[in-house]
Amino acid sequence: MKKTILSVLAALLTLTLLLAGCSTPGDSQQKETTSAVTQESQGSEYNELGTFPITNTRKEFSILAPWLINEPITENETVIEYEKMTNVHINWQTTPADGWMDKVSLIIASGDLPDAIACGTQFGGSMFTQSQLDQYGSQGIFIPVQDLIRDHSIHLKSFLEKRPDIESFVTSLDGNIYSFFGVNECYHCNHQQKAWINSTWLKNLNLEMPKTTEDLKNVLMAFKTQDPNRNGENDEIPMAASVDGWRTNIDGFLMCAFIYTDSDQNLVFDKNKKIQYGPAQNEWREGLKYLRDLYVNELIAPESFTQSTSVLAQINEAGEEPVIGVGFGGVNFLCSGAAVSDKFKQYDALPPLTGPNGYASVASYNNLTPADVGIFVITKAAKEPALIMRWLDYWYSEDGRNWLDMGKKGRDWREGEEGELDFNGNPARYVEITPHSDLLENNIILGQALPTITDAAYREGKKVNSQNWRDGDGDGELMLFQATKLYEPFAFPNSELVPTIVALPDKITDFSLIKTSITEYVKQHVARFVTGDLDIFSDADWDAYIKGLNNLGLQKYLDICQEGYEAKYGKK
Amino acid sequence: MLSKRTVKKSIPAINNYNGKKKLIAIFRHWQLYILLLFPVVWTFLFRYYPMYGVQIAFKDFNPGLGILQSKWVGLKYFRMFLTSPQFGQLLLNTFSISIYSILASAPVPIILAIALNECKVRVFAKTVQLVTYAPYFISTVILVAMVNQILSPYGLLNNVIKLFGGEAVNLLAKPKLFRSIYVWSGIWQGAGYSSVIYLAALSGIDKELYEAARIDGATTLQKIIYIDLPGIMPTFIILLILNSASILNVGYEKIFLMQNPLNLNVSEVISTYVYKIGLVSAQYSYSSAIGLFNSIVSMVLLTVVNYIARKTSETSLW
Amino acid sequence: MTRKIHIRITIGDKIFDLINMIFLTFCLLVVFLPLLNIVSQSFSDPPSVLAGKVIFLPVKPTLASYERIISNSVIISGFANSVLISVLGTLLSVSLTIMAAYPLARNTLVGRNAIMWYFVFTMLFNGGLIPTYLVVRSLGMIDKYAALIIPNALSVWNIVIARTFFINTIPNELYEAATIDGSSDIRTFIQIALPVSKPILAVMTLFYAVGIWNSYFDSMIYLKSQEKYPLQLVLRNILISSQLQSQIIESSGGADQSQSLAIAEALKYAVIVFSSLPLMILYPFIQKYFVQGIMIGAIKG
Repeated sequence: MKKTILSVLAALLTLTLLLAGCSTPGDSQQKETTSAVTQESQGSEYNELGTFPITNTRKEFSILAPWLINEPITENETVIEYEKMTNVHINWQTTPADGWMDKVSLIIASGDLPDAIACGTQFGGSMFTQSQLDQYGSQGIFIPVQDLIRDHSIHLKSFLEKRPDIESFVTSLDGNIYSFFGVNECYHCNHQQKAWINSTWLKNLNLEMPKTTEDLKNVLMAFKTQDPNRNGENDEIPMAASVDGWRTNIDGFLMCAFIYTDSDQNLVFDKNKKIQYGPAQNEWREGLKYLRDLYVNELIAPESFTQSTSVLAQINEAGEEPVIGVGFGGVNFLCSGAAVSDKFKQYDALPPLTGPNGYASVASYNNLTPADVGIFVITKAAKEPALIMRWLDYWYSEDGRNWLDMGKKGRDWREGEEGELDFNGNPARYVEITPHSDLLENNIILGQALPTITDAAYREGKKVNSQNWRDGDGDGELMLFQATKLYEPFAFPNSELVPTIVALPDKITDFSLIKTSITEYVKQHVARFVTGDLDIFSDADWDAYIKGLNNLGLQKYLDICQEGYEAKYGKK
Repeated sequence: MLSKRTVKKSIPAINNYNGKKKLIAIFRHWQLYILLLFPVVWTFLFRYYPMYGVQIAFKDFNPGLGILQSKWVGLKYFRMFLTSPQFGQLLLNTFSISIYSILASAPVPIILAIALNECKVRVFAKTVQLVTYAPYFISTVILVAMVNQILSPYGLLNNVIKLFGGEAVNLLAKPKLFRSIYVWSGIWQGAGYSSVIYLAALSGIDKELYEAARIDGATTLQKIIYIDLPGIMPTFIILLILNSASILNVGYEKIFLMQNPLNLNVSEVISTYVYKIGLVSAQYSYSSAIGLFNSIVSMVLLTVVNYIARKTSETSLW
Repeated sequence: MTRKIHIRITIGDKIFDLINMIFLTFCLLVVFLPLLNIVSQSFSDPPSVLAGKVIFLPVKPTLASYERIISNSVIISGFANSVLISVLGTLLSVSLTIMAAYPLARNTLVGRNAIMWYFVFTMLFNGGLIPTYLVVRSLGMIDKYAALIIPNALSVWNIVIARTFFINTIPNELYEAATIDGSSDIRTFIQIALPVSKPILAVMTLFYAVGIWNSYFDSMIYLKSQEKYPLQLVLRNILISSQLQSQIIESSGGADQSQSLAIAEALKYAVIVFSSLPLMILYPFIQKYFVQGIMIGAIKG
């Protein structure tokens, strides 16, 4: 016993001494500024641009990427075959997707940079924000790539030539492009702030789809009193929202009948093209009055401000018939879908309503962000950036994109045949054979891990089984597509909308702090005004609310937004 | 009549030594220092050496430049936090949730431990021990989901209320109840796990004391009051002191999941505030400054509580 | 040793026992029923879980959620890795803790308060993730098991608790008696302190083992090779993966969205049960050390 303890102590002592004796820890940051990547043609080692293999002598470079699948990325089918195709070996440095940005910051801080970083959201990563790109780019950690695109790419170059708007969008204020972007046009995401209404109930009560806020109120009243689900019980909940889902908040959709709101930035232009904050305007107050009126008439479920989305669906799915009339969300969260029941087929999207002043709007999300930046970056550690460019370029081509997204032609997808239609009712170009989830689970495709162009035309070109989304098990994607078509007419042109603001580097802290506070403040006060905790009809309460907003630094926030906007888009 | 016999606590006799005696004591007990060497070295390497990172709070930290190269800005971020409009609210919320939690959860593990200790049916006691220890492993996400389901207007609680003819009540919508729901669900989750410390402390009580008590004819209650409680009191006090050091460390995850627009003015604590800002953009320096602020407050509290403990009982950290 | 003494068992005692039993039964139910719900959800078919139909018994019992977990080839390596680092880590941690707690419990230690402060200070202040990461990195521990065991080996909280235990269980006279007998400090430790410290050793073992088994943050930050991932990380990956799936499909509104949503929901419960099972099994083995009956007095003799 004694001997064991002594030997354990000795071992521990040795271990500690060994570890302590290692090189002294230090903050090993390379302090010399890296020279910009020389643009001399490295083409002599490479084969002709656009042909495979890329190089005759086997080359390699490293990529850091998040990874979730429990089989290693080195066994991914796409990775293996592309290596054979290109003769370029990738040294993957994968990291658990959890805490991805923390990990990236650590790696940058420690100076252990890989040649490239791929942050696509497919495997849980998150893309670099424009601010981060500006910051790391100006420090030389990420290298500018616009010259690489010009000299060593075909597909990406020709895409940018067709889309100068994207080129200017992804260019930083110093004129460089610091990352590779992707274009993922999720059509229905453009107007994701949707409302859903039980159209079976409308039919049962012989009602039309509501077009104005007044209509909606009448419909909700009818839902409440006339037993639209025909089960003899007065169990209907006219309208309900939840707190934690995608656009499930109660104010987003409805407020658009009074003032433009996207439940995110909430910025609007006034007539002098100056940026203003939606929730501070009188129109916002009018909208809240409307909501309060609904609430007082028991047309809004009180739990809308406390319940989680999953509980909401459970309540609706609990009985034989659904009990909720109107709900909100990027998809219909009132139902759990085909796996649980057929109730979801009773619902249709409710198109944007027109308010008492004749105003109607719909929140747009995509138009102003034509591309997602920060999906792939080349770091200063890369010895052959041109090689990386050539390796990456293929994914911007149609073939590359198809492979990334749908897998192998012939086995996982094929071209459309006679009679097969797509989302728009036109002949389908692509027919998926292997389900997307299988391709991911079985480690076959890389999906959105790498930047590519999955634009609207591509996505809408895929085959749908029926033009009626209710057929069979229900086609959710088609439903969303058709629903969004109803929303489109209400959208404002881009010139009238405030784009996503990127604050100038020295203002980012203030920007983040104030934005966080006012967002929470507004959320809280919507709840308080609608539930009656504060009186929306009392000028005193409203003024106190505005005062509170101003105290949080609203004006400073607007100034920062204005500054950031004009820096990028110029004074109009 | 039971004499109050307690185990003698160690009195800091060393403080009464003069310099020469201290030197002799050090040599005499050199082996103790050898033992201490390992934890001390470890602590230096992994806790003290990295403390240079505290500088981040005083700089405009940028991962690209590194800690040493980032620009020095002094108290800028401290000032930012202390003058921010939410500062008072955040501090108040964090404090009140924490203090409520500490006070409410202090007695529960003790009661549980003593109850288990006194249970005559050992198999039952062990089963209860095992079961109450289990909730500790439930993830925060599931815990909050369960709380939401039980307390929802259509959930278990209201079903029971309706069964007895009452009206459904939405407890989640009452901001005043937020703290209670947070604290008591936490107690439900952690009391069993924490009671283990007290069970161990109870095991350490000198058996002779129990024997003497039985001979003196003490009832169970008297035994608990005069032997068990004093026996675990030092542990209790130490834990109280330790808890006071982490008063500002209310974790963000559970609160964040339990927040809703109606309870924000009581549920927004320092950690959720920092988390939300980080979602917009990573603010290393700002969150580091806040962390440093927390540390300083904790240190003050710890010193004060320890002082009080030292003056009023025989147990303290130093 | 003592002759059997017949103790009067008062009515008061009987009432106490009854109340005690009622109280413990109440605790048992209050804790057990929600746990039962969780276990049942893990054995129910996913759509029922999503619909919230599971209360106390599994609905449409199935092993589907568990199959999803086990079908991952990395589960076995994850499990093995966790066992490895838990055993090694607990050994290291408990040793380091006792090596600090015992001397600090001795009143013959000069500088006791200063050393206490030395440790406690680190509970209040820390340099943050980045410097710690850099330290670990320069010690060459990135992507090694050592990084999961060493950087967080010592918890000051546990040192304090262990020290408190030593102080309250072993009176000074014992130490003094041993010293007079010519015993060195370490021998005193082995022959006197250690035998009576089984309960606190059990507690330390439990706390550290649970802490290491449940930890994922260190492995998330310091590991690169998938083969080294411990169980918690593997399970988190599985969970996040299924949630991402259902979100991606959600934003494409695909027909299998509902199914994947249900799977992601049910998986949460199976993961909890799966990962806590070993710790539940561990507990009874530790339990037996919380037994009354340490005869300090006997040691005196």
